Amino acid sequence: MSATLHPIEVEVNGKKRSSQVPARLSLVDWLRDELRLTGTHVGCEHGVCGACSVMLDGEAVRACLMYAVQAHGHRVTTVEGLTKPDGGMSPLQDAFCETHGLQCGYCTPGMLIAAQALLDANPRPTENEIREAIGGNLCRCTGYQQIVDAVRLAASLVK
Amino acid sequence: MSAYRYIGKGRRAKEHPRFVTGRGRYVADISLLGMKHIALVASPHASARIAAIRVDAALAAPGVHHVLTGEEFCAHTDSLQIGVDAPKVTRWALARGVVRYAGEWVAAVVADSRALAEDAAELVEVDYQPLPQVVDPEEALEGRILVHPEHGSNILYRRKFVWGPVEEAFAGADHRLSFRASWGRSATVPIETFGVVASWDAGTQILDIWASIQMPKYPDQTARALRLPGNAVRVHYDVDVGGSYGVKRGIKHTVLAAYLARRLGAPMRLIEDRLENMRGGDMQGRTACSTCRRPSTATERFAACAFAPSTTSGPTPVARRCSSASRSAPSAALTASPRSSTSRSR
Amino acid sequence: MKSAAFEYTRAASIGEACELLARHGDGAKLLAGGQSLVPMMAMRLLRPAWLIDINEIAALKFVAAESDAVRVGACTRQAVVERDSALAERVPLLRQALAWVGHAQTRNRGTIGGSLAHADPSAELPLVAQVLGARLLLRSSKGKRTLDAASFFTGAMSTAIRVDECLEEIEWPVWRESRTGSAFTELCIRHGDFAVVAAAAQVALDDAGRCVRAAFGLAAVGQTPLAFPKLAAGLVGSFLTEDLMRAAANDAADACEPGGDLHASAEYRRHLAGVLAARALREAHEKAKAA
Repeated sequence: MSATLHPIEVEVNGKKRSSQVPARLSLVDWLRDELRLTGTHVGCEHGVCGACSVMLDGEAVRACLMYAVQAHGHRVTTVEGLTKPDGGMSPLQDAFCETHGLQCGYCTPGMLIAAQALLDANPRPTENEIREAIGGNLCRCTGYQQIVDAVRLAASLVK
Repeated sequence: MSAYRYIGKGRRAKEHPRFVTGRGRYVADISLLGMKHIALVASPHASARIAAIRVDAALAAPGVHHVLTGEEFCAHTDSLQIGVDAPKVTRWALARGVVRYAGEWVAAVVADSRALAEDAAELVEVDYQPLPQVVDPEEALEGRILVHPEHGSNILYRRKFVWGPVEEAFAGADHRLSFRASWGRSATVPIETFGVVASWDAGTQILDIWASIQMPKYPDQTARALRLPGNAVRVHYDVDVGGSYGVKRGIKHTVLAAYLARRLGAPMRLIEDRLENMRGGDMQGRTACSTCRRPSTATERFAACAFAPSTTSGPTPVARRCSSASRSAPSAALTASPRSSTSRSR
Repeated sequence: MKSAAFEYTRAASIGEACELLARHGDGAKLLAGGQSLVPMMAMRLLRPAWLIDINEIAALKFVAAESDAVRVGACTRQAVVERDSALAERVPLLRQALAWVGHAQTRNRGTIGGSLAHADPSAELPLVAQVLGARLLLRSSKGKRTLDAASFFTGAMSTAIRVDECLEEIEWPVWRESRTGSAFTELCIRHGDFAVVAAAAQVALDDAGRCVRAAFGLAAVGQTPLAFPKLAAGLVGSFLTEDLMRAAANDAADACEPGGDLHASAEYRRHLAGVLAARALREAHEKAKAA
């Protein structure tokens, strides 16, 4: 059917990326397959699990429910973009390791994005606010408690 | 304070740093040069004869390299292992002649991308003649509708375990208690679905496999189905797995992808999407109906227990454990009945 | 689960969006937040030939306070409305309802207009529109027209929007009575899911505590969200005793036509309707007394 390619320019993790994409290519598939940023994961492809979460202009969104063409002119941050400029782990990433807030690691990038977006907007979240912020992310391994602990720990570390 | 070096000390897991920085390597992260993508055509019927499959329109669709049906596939590979002594019960990744559960794969499309493969899969035309179906284990036991007629019944495995003097305990009892419990199918739904990448090297005659796998005898069963020597299948165990909790069997996906890799001379990727994962009728926990009968006397309440679980493991079983606690005389029967799941609305 | 192919345009203006709708008719769908549309496209339940992306039209994203109403552009993100404290003071039911709508990620993309146009009978924002009598402005290349909520919602997942029309803005009435209180409550399987049953209520009291205005409604118990203006009118002039509120809630429950499904039987939904409507009225009353 449509073989039309749309030119896009998207700032991804601080770098300008240009591309030509078919309209139906999802944002998550573009990030993973073309930019090889495979840290963002595909879990359900219908907006339920949160594994595909990225930041769009600083806010957490489901990358499986956006088409890459829609990201033209916007800023995208993936889990790879959460590390410090020197490549070291952010306080939040380190906190996940400290509290054992992951097992298989598949939901983890989405959790980190949701949690970092919360901390960027609200550096001192309550427990309820933490749970609400990650409420759109499913985890089948941990039972969530240690993920909440990680976010609380990270919040306490940042001055 | 722990006297040990490792036990009782809060230690970090070695693999966590790569997961939190997005450097995990799951099967869908693996991209091989020239890799092709597989999409499936699945039966919407729980029980049906396949009268015809027409693939011309699919073959002509953009980016399509091949459409495989059971007629070719089942002739060139061996049945997957059943795990119980039922030589007439066979199982392949693709149906041949009949479908035995809604969701059973009827054809596989190979294309340059998953999206193009899905486009072509919609163009495959299958003529089904629906047949009577049975999904309830107790109804299946009656055997009026046979899932594998060549086997002669729907009972795939029957075993009786007797520990202690059960009959005497029942005979001497004042009272008898009986209750029936049944529960439905279950799925573990890991956030990562099953996936496999298969690559055949015609020079070395070695099959390389990357998969989201966590079960034993995986290379062995794959080799056997493909009629390969065991040491010709090289499974790369350093692929991260995004959860499984028992459901990632993956043999049928792997044999299919490997066959196509060898047939077409290109690496193959088959990643289940979430609909395929939820509708994979033979990748779920079984339905079970259990009847427990217990005699009791005034003085000795729980003298014995006879426990008779009857479970369906679907159209074909993968060997299931029949466990029962207590000193009892349980008898276990595994029955075959077609799995039914919601029909596809694609 | 890859979408079937489609043609795509990013509309630069409402006019352009309407022109494209007029040209492509029912072969086109508007793409706003995509939180409901894109899953259906991924499952190939929907396969429009054209997607008209209206996310970049600034004129559709605004919150404007007027004397008797707040106008909200159809493409305003749910999260933006949720965060707007001035809006929450004037139309408190919106923020109260949004606390039950989806999750952070879906509210960051999902739009106010998108939820209303999608018209799921168990959705929260359509219920608020129905209860408050919101007015919906529809634009086409032929002109514009305004519908009140009661005329806008025509059935399950169905509205009066014509094939060449785009929902442009929603006018949410503001109650000027000083002692106004509102509440939104629902029962859902997991927080963020669609409601099994939801209830919304808003009441206003005079200085003596007598009810001078009331509105309440229920979602997921009919083909559309249901408001009960006659039953609410019956509460006006009273002191909103527990008995009166319960009676109104039970009358509402009797009047609705819930369906049964995997999550709840029709009888259970009817029972919930009475319980939740009373709870919403009670909480709204408490808030009004404290105001």
